[in-house]
Amino acid sequence: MKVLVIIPAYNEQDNISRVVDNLIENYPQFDYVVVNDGSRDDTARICRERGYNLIDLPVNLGLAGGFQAGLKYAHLKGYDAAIQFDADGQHLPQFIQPMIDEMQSKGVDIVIGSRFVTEKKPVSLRMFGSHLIAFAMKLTTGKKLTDPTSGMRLFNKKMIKEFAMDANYTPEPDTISYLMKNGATVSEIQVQMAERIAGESYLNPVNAMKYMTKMGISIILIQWFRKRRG
Amino acid sequence: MRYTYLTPEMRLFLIAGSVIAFMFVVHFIRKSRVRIEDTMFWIIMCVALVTISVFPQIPFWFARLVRVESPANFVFLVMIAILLVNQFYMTLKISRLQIKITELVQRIAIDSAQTDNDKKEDK
Repeated sequence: MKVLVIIPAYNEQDNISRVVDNLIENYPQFDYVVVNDGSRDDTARICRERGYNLIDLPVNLGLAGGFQAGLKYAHLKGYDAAIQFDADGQHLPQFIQPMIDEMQSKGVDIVIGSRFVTEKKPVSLRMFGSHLIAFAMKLTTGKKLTDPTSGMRLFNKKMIKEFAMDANYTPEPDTISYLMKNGATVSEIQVQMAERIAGESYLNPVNAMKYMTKMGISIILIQWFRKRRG
Repeated sequence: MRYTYLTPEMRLFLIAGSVIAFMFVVHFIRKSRVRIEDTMFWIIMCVALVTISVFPQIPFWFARLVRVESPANFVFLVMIAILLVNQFYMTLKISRLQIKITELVQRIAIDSAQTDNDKKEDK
């Protein structure tokens, strides 16, 4: 199974080389591509100097557009699966293989690296959001995900193609929920995640509120009217 | 009289507003800052406003038809409705542009990534 690790990077000059070097040195069996999403810092220069495999977006498109560029590349190159992998070092590469194994043994379309399959969800404001999204997904799909907001997701060939073609397929819980409702199979396995070491998370209270509102409206209301391609 | 009058002041105001708006639009067309086909909405709006100001019988007739108390209210209602519809079309247009830009940016980046890879393999 040919797997591509897609690493969307926006202003990650302090993290990118650590994350990618770790992949190259310790996990050479995986192909990877860094998608520089129009960063204003030195992310692109660092990638060039170190000779990384790089898709360099000339302007910032946001996570959805950047990740989609990676999936288009995966589709073009005929990869069997692609995994979304954070450039800030939160995702740990030792869990990529177990996720691939899960996909192959269960034959599912999407595998999510979840923090809470066997571990308990901590009680915090952030996790309250996670509970809300999980609840909305349960309402619409009837299925339960333990970690709907996890960004570590593995997609099979069929999903790569669908994601590459449609502007509304964002790598967010609402699209996962929509796909589940429409028959895509999803499985979760337990993974650990690291705290981000350098740089700043975009998750401040205002953004979190915006995100929750968007997800809530999209999952509960808009899904029913979306039209699936392919 | 049951239907209140579209006052002369308001008619003047509408005519003046329309003429100024029209000059404004024409100014941008002359400087080629806007495509003519994109100004159709505004030109038609200006002409329509002048028309109902000169012939208030038209809004009168429609106001009576749908039993709105005052023709002025009817004019407001119609204008708001038209603006809402137009704004939705603008949202559509912006979305379409956004999708096109995304496609283009991705295409450029993927193409140049492939050129880079080809160069690396040549070395």
